[in-house]
Amino acid sequence: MTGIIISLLIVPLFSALLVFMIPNSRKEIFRPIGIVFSLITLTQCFYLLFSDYGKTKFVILSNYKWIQSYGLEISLGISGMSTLLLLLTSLLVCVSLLSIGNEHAESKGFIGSLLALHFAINGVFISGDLISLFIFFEALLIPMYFLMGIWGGENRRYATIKFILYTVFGSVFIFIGTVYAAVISYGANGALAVDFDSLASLALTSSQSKTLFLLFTFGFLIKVPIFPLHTWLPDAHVEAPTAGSILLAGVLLKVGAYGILRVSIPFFTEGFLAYKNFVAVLSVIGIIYGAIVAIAQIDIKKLIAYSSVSHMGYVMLGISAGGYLSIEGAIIQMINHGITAGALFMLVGFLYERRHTRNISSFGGIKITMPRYAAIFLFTSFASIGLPGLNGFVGEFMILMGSFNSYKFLTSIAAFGVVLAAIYMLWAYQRIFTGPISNEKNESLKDLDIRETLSIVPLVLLMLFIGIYPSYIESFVIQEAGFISETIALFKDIK
Amino acid sequence: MILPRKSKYYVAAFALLGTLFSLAPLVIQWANYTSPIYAFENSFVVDKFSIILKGLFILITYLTFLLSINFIESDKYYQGEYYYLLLSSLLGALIVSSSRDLLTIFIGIELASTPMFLLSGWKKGDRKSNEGAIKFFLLGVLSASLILYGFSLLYGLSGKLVFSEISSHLLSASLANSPVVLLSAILVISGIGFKISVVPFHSWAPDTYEGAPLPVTAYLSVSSKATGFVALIILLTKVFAGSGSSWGIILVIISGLTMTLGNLVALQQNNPVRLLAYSSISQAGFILAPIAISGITGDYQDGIFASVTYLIIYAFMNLGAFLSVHLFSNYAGSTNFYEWGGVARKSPLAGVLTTVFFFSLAGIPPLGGWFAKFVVFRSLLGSANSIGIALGVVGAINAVIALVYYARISKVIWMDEPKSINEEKIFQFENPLKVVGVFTVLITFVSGIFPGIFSYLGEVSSIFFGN
Repeated sequence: MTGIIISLLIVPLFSALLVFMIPNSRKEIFRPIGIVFSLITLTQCFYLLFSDYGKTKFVILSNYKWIQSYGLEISLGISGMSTLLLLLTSLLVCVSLLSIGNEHAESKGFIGSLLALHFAINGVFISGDLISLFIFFEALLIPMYFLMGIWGGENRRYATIKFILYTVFGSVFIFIGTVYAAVISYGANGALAVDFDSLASLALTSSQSKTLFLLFTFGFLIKVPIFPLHTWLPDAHVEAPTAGSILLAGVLLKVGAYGILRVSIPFFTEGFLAYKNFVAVLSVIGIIYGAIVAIAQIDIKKLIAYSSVSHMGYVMLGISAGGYLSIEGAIIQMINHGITAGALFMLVGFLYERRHTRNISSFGGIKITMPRYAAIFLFTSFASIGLPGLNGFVGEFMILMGSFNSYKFLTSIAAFGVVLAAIYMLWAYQRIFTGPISNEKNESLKDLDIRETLSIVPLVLLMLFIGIYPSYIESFVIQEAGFISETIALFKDIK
Repeated sequence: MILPRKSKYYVAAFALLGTLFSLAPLVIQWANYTSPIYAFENSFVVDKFSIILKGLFILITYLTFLLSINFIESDKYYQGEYYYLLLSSLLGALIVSSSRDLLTIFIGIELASTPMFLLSGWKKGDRKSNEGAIKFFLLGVLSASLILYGFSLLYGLSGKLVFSEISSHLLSASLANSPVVLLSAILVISGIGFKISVVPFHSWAPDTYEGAPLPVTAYLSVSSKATGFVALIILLTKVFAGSGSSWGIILVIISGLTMTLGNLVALQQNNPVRLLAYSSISQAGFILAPIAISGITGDYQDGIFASVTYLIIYAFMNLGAFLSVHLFSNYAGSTNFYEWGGVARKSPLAGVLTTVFFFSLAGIPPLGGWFAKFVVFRSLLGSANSIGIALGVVGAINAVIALVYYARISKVIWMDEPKSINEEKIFQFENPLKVVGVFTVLITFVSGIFPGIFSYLGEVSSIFFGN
């Protein structure tokens, strides 16, 4: 099992290095290499999913001595939530490699950076201690920096710097939190042990717990992002190249929520109880604000970006309600949003490659020329809105049900987000696809070809599968959600 | 110097080999090491701490020579003298790291810095070079006199020269916190403050850095700074150990000011060398922080470990950063880095190296800089002292500010539209420079990914403090 976990790091890293070492004269094989290696990782993730560790709470499987005199160890481990997110990452890397146009697929740097990004994200989800979590959390910025900065849109310079600065600003707090936790742990154990097992056994005073919660959560919330720290997101999503947007929306936003579930809540529960109402209010503002702003957008990518702010608001609402059902819903919503937002960004990418514009007003009636594309887009929009029977419904419904007991008023407001989502998605669909063809450039648009169809179909199938059989995906997170909510409940009792 | 002009080429090779060979006795000393060896009536010591630092100084000088070869040959510079002066400065640094009495350390400090007065004015035809050299010289002499004045007070009080005797005299006569000793400590800190260019003694640095030949600047910002820090560490912990609570506060203030001012001014720079000058001022604040706090808490061992670790990692990544600036400013022919738009595309290797060094300076893992920051913050927060935590907060804010200007350079070289790129012009990346680049980048990665190698230093700093 340890071997599988380590190979989750080694395989992507090796493939990235391999791509960098192949001479540019063989540029046609960059994409196949990337796909083959991400399929290997995908298979490993499936193996993990059906192993003993696919359904548990976080278990540390291997420790490596790192800095002996400090007693600092690198710990790697796995849990149900991690496995699902790893699976999502590999899937999205694989399909985004398949979906991108030749201009990017034949660039060594692009494919290499994408695979390096895969490596760093995998690292985040299997980290079993704060130090390696921090290192991977930061390391994923470097490939993202190149992906956005070199292959991004017109305004990429501004967007990249903004993205990096926001994230690193948050990371500094995580860094200080890590050091602080290490120092506290040193006082208790005589070693700078910050692996998750030692943290769980640490007896923190009330003020320590609150300080640490604030430090970590602030850093993670920027990444989620929560209102009002979300302003980097629309710029970053719009300017990133398609594959970058898919991974950014699909996985990187989840890293923040993952950190809160993995670190902030279980270890600094007292801090969580003190500040959860504040987080809940911000998430509901985010849900409504993101949705309203999305209605007003004229750029399709920006519309989806703001819808992400709204959807991640649900995740944070579910987390801050802290109940069993709401946390389970939040985890499932993370996966679902990864699938639907990834698919939407991919679809927009297809359109952009054909027309080199994302302006809603330059389309209209393209259902006639691209019927297959239109059908898939409509299906994905329904999934994103949360139509029952598709995946989006499952998570949001569980979150709203689970949160209602703790926050009756806030949850009622949050429910309006679903209505607003229907407005912005369907109105956008209407303007892009229905009616007569208003722009003559759209008359010669080609429908999706086989490669493009193949890359979107796995995501579409997943939306349907999770929508009609949610208890299957639920079975992987039951234990973990139970563990987190019990930690919270236990702490309430002690108080 | 005695070689005829035609055969000056051999000078470089000779200097390179000489520095490399001087590593050999160090390795032997290291391998046969049992306990500290004292010589010259306790005024000179060979312990693990000094061996490590000597290794560092020799490596830095070696890399500086590699940086210099092509540069020195590119114009009418005196070659023989150039290498001679750098080697003299290296000798000074080596003396400092082993010195245990007032005279030896003073000779070491001055031997390390005096050649730099000449070298910083090496571009004789350049007004800026002359201006920088004069400023550096005047302030350097002032700093030497401050250090000497401080030493003379110590000698007057105790009548001793050797550190251990002075400090035991101060303790036995309970003079450790007397005003005279404090005055002496302040004088020494101010004097060395010039060498390590901390606020408010930093004003010479940007002008001198800008005027000096680039390899010399790299040497100044790395080796000279390191020499100053080593001298400061030795003096503070060996002589003034008893009055730590007083100089600790002073150093905390200096450290906080240095980080902040250096950073804020660096934000405004468009000249890459001036930017690096201010950034290295700000980095000096970080190096100083753990020593400052260790003065207050009395845990010198931890402070020395954190500072020296930071110093070593900083040395290599900063050398690398100067290498990148050297490459790109040569190519673009401009000293305004905003005009370097897209130059990384001409040489992706140089572009990647640059990004690595600047991100490492900003402290982004898995590059070495993050571990340097980690040990410093650990030492600050671990002090469990409100002053330490306050300094940690200042440091954290500065870490974010610093990212803005570090990221800006790599943004320009990768993402900006090419303005001054001449398609015909060949990007010069000579082999000696490649060696420097690869060597420094390796150290930057290794120290970030396997920081365990520094844990040895923790043990060594305890040896240092034990004798």
